[in-house]
Amino acid sequence: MLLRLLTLITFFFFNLITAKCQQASKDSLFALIKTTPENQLKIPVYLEYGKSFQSSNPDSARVYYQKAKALAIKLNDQKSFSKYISYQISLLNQTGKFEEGLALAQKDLAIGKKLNDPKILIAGYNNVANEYEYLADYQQASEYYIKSLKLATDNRDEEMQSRINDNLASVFLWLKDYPLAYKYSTKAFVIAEKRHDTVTMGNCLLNTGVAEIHQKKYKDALLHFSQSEKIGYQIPDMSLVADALSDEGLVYYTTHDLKTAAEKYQQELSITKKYQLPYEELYALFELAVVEKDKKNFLLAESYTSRAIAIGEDLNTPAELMEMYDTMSVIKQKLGKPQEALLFKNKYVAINDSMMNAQIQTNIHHLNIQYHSAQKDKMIAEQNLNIERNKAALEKKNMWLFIFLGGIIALIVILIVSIRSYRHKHNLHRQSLLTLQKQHEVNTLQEKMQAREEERDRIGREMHDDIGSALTTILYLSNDLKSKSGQPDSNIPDKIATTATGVVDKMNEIIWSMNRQYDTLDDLIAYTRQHAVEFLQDHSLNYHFDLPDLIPDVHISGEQRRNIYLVIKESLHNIVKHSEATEVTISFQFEDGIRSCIHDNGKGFETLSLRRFGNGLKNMEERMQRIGGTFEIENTNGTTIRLFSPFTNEESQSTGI
Amino acid sequence: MINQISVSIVEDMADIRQKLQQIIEESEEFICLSSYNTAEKALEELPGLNPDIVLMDIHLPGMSGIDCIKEIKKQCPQMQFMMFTIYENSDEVYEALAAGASGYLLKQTSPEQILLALKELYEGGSPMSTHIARKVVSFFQKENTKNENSSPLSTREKQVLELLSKGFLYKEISDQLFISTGTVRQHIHKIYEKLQVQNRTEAINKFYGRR
Repeated sequence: MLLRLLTLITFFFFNLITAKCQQASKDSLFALIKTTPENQLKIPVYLEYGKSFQSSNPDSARVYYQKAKALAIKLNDQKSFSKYISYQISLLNQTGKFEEGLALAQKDLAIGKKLNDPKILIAGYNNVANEYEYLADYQQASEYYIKSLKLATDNRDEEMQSRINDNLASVFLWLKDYPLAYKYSTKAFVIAEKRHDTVTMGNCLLNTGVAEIHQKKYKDALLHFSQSEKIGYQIPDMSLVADALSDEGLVYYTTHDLKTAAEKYQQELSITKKYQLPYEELYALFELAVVEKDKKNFLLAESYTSRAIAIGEDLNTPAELMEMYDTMSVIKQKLGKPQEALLFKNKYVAINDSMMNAQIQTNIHHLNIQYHSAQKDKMIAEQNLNIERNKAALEKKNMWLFIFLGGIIALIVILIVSIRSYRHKHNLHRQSLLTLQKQHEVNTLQEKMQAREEERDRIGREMHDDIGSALTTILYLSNDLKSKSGQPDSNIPDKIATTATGVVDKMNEIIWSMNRQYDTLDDLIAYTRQHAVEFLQDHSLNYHFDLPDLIPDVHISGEQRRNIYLVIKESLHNIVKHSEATEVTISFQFEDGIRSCIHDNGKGFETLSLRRFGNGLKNMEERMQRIGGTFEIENTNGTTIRLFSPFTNEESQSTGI
Repeated sequence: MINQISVSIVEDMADIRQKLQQIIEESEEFICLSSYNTAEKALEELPGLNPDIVLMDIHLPGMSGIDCIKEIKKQCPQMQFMMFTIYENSDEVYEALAAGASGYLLKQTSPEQILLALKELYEGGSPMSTHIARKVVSFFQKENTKNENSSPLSTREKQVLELLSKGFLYKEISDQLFISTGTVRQHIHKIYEKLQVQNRTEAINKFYGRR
């Protein structure tokens, strides 16, 4: 939407400036060139300024047209480029360079198609048609004119409508379809007059007049021609004036008013010379030649014809030359110059042939081109189709192949990955298991070692406590013996002996508890029994040992052995010391661990007296706790002590001694 | 004079040796033949002297008591050795017994007990602690698994041995087996002899094996 608005605005300004330029004089235009910056709006300035030179100095015109073109290219302004083309074509047409003009016109058309711009398309079609007309390819010309006209009608471009109508009129003139020519030219004139398009009006009038000549409407024709002449002077468009005068002359010629015809042609000639219109000059000369020929002024005719031929050859206008050669040959004959007449006749024939050939060739060429392009298209299409088919097939094949390969690869990858991950997991799992196991083993070993070390430390401590105290006792006792003061205690030697024996016994115990070969339940029981019984017997106590028939073959630690034995020993010592019992029962059970029960029929213990041997009880409790067991004491018809120490996992392993 | 039991003493601690000598000398039943403070000296003279009993300390400077017994027993198999030891439960006691000693005495034993034990040994009875019993048991168990021959121990011996290994006292055993404690000790003595035989056989076998 915005883009459309912009283009409208630009075009408005462009037209405005063009209009202004058209009104302006050369000097003011020049001033404009100096002042206007190198922007889009300078292009129409260039073009108009150049156009002002078109009649007088085509080279200058070309220069400015080129400037306009350069600027349009620089600004990448296709529309302005199209405008340039229009101007340039008119210049080319003026110099008879219709082929170039055609090429350029087709370029313009291409631009129009690319931009899909109706204005440019209309102008483009029109210009192409125009060139074809100049090149006498009236069929193409009419086709393109009709295309242009259609677009112009659709787009309500009245300016172009009128011009195209007029152009069609001139084509039909060439095709000698005078009624149609008249129709179109008058139609064009109406539109042009409405729009005050004087240029088109002028052209329309000419075409109308020519049509009228052929329709023998001479007065109307003359009227129209003189109207057109006047318009020509007004614009000013001297070529129009020249054309108008030419046509006026034609009227007079046709009505056999050779004198007035010659006058008109002379006027035409002078204008063409003055304003440098070679094409029009050619016509003027030839027309004069024809008049003079008819007036039987053959020398004059010859002179005019040769001048016309010179221009024709210069401009390379075959159609005109053909007629001129023919006329010249007649003139030459009339002048009694048969060779020259023949020469010109040959020239005529040559051109005629070439023109015909050209025509045919053009036609054939066209047909050829069309055919070939059609063929080519067909071939290309077929090839493309094949290629596409093959491509499709190949792609399909490839696709399947890829899918297949991809699938296999994917499978392999999945397989590898899954195997790896499984192995990895497995390894990890195994490793972690191993690690855990090792860790567990290490931990257990460490615990064991630590426990053993702690036990050794304890044994060591107990040992040096016992030994130390025993020796000290012995020392004191022997000192006593030595002492000279008072009577020595006669018990001293016994006491010394007892103390010493006690130490040895202690050592024995330690040896027993630390010797790992004795780490069995059997051994503990045997050892305990031996010493317990001995002790009880020594103190004249009745005893009873209760053992299950089968002693489980269980491995127990030295620490466990020692502590249980010591607790039992301590209990027995307490019984002997405090209980005043007469019977002791020691029983064992080995279901879930070592359970021992020591019962005496003594007087029991009071809580008060507990404090007296409080340390001893606490000690026993600690010993049992150290081996993860329990110690209980209660008054039950005497005293009952219960011990429990559980079997550990290792202890469940059976060992043989 | 009545036949006195001749005793030789091998003990490196002077006080103890002298005391022992004194004890034996004071007893009418015993006579002290000689005393040595090293095994080497004992080894030299004992075979010639041929005492009834040798009271030998296990721990001696130089050659140990155990080795000494082994050597002398080769020459004089019938010589009785009583090991003198501090600790009952040490492995060395068992070793000595297996090597050829027939009994052991704890050094802490009172003089009267010492004389009693010596007399008992002379009469063919040996002491055995629970521990030693267990070791003997395990030894004979191993031997049984090796040879397919039945155990060299007699039923009675096995019984005594078993009860001893369970911590029964001599009295208890004698009560249970309806034998006197003397008989118990005699059984023990026999057990030691068989132990020594087995041991020697083993040693010889090992020795032969090395050849």
